[in-house]
Amino acid sequence: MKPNKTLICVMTLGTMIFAAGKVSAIPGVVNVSGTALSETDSNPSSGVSVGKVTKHGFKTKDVLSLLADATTNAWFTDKYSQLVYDPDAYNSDASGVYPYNVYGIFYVTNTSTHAFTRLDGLDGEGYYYSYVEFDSYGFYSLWEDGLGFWHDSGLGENYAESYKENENKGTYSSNATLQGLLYIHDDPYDYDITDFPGINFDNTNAIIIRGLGTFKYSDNSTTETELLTLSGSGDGYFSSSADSYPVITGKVTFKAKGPSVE
Amino acid sequence: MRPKFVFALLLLALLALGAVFFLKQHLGNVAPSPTSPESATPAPPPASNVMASVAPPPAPIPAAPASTITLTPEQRQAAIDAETDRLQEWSMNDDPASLSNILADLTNSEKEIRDAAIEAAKQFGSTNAIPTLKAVAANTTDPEEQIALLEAANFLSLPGVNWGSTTPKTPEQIQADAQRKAEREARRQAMQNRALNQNSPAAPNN
Repeated sequence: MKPNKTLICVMTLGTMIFAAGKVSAIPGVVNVSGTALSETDSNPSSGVSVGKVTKHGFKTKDVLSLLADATTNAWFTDKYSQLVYDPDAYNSDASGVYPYNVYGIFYVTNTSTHAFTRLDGLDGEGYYYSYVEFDSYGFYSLWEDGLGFWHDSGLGENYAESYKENENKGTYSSNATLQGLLYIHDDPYDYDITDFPGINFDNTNAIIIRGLGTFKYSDNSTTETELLTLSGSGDGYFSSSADSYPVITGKVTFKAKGPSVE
Repeated sequence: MRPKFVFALLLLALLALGAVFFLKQHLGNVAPSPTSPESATPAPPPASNVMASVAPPPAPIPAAPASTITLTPEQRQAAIDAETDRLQEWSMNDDPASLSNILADLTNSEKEIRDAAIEAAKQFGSTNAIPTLKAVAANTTDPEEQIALLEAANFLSLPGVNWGSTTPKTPEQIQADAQRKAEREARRQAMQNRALNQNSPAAPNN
């Protein structure tokens, strides 16, 4: 059977990350979709003010458009470009900024050209920057310090997980409910919204989706599978005059599959 | 000669009766409905939608034929994964064939594939998908799936977001950005120092 392009691109990226010395690397594709409710005010006549709510939709292609403008990578909007995430990757650049470990790295890849760009890192002056973060506290067992910058337990740290482990067969599967936050923004220095609430105001364009997610994990001793779904709401920041401060409702899905590491 | 001839005739008659009885029994067991979703022979179009569609309209399910291929859980999951990977790829295309494949999977027998198809339809972003999403929703008994299908149909009817034009920054804006960046770094440094003092010498959360 002919392997599909998405799989090749993700596996190539995974191999490169693994070769770079990371513990585990099963990057997968992220899809985002949602709606933005925004208020438009007008003064139809003297002494009369009217506010109208309009609803717009956004999907992964729109998110890639935001990131293309922010990073000046026009190819992000090309056909077959996609948002890729590796939650297992130890983020050494981000961890250098904090007194704890940060896990998770985002990329944009293109399954046709095989181009890829990492969406965080250190700039020329050694300052850390980031355009996308997924923050979640609840996975101490899987990710030592949680995911992204969600390190403040006051933001919610509990999770409920059903699981089954068979040490004889070397298999493990779990299904957890957790709290999470996806933050996509165009000012690369406005990262870590969990530790710096309000930092999002400095962006020109941004989307925040915060809510309850489910995380399904399975390892059958040869293959690991990770499936994350997050549904929630949050603020948005659009530079266009009509949609400047919308209320966002959205859904994020992430799926990754790769060989078992242990 | 005569008794031998009669015996041979009787033997032939018995054989013929046996053959008729056998064929009747055999055909009665194996002939499935041509529209059966569980038939071993897959419906021809679309070839890449590996799992059989279940609706619309739902065909009556006959007794399982003896020749049905049963997949192991691993094979079944592999088939689901392969189809969801294809859906991801189709969702990035803009051709009618890809949309047709996505819409066909809205009625797949596997819920995981149906969910992926709903998401793929949203990502594909064509209003041509709306009638099918609504039609499938009308035939769906699962309330959650029905809501997801209708939400997808509503989503596709919405206008897209407008990020606004990105204009080059003025020197004053660049200077203000640099100042904000320095302030943020100072705040981060202060936070880091606080965390180090609170948790020293062990790393936090360990």
